[in-house]
Amino acid sequence: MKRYIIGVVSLIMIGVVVFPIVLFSAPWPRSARDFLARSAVSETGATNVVASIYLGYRLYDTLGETMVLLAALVGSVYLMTDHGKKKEHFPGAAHGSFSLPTTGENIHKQYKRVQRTEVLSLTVGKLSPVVLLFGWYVMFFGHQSPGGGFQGGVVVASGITFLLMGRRLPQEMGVLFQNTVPVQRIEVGALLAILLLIGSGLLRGQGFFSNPFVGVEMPMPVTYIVLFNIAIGIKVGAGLAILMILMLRGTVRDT
Amino acid sequence: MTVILLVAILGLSIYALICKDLLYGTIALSVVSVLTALLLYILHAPDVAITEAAVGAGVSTVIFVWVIRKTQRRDET
Repeated sequence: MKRYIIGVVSLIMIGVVVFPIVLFSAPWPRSARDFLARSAVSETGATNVVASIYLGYRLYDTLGETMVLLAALVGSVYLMTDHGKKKEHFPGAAHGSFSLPTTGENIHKQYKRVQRTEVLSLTVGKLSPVVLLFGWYVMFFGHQSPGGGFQGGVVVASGITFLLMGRRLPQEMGVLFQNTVPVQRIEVGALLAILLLIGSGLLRGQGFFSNPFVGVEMPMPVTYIVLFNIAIGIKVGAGLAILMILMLRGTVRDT
Repeated sequence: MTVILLVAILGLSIYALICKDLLYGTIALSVVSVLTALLLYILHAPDVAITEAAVGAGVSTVIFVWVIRKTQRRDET
C-alpha cells in the first residue's frame, strides 16, 4: 500500500513540474537554430548538423560523455571481477551457468555446460557480420548520415556480442576474444587517440578542442569529425565488448 | 500514429512495473525502447532513434537478462 502512495505522490509532483511547460507559450529560441542552419555545414563540412554540433561546437560535452562512460565501465568491471577476493556464492544463483569449463575436459561435456543450441549459434552466426558491417557504416559515415561514434560503437559491440554468443568455447574464438586483454589495449589506444585529437589543435597554434584541419592550405574540416567518430566508436565498442566478454565468459583473463 | 505509440509505450511501461516475472518485464522494456525509437524517428530525430534502438533494445536487454540469470527470475516484493 505504501508503495502505491509513494507512486501517486511522485506522479503528482512530476505533473506539477511538467504541466507549466505544457502551458508555456513563448516562441522557441531562434538564434542558435539560425546560426547553425547558416554556417554549420560551411564551417565544419559535416552534412549531418548533429555531428557538427557534438564534434565541433560542443566537443567539450562529448569529452565529458566519454569520460562518464569510461568511469561507468571501470566501475562495472570492478564489481564484476571482485579483484582477487574469494568467490562467494550468490544466494539463488545458477552456479556457473556462464562460467567457462576448464580446458582438460571432454569436448562434449563442455558443449553441454555452455548450453548452446543450434538455433542460437546458427542465427547469431548469420546475423553478426551484417550487424558489424552496419555498425562500421554508422561509425564511419556519422558526418553524413544519422549516427556517429557512440551509436556505431554500440552497434559494433552488439555484433561482437552475437559472435560471443555463437562461440562460447575458448578454442573456437579468435585471438581477439580469448580474454579481455587485447580489447582492453584497443580501448586504451582509442582513448589515447581521442586525447591526441583534442590536443591536435595546438600544433596549428590554436587552443584545445579546436579543429586543426581548417585554414587555407588544408580546407578539409570534416576530416576532424570523421577521425573523432572513428576514435569514439572504437572506444565505446571496445568498452562494451569488454563488458560482454566478462559477462558471457565469466572469467577475467586466463593468466 | 504518435498517439498509438505513446499509449503502447505507457501500457508496456506499466506492465513492466507491475509484472512479477522479471524476464517478461525486461522484454516489455525492450519493446518500449523499440517503440520509442520509432517515435523519435517520426519526430525527425534519427540520430537519437539509432541510439535508443541500439542501447535500449540491444545492450541493456542483454545486461538485464544476464543479471536475471545470475540472480533469480521472480520478483518477491
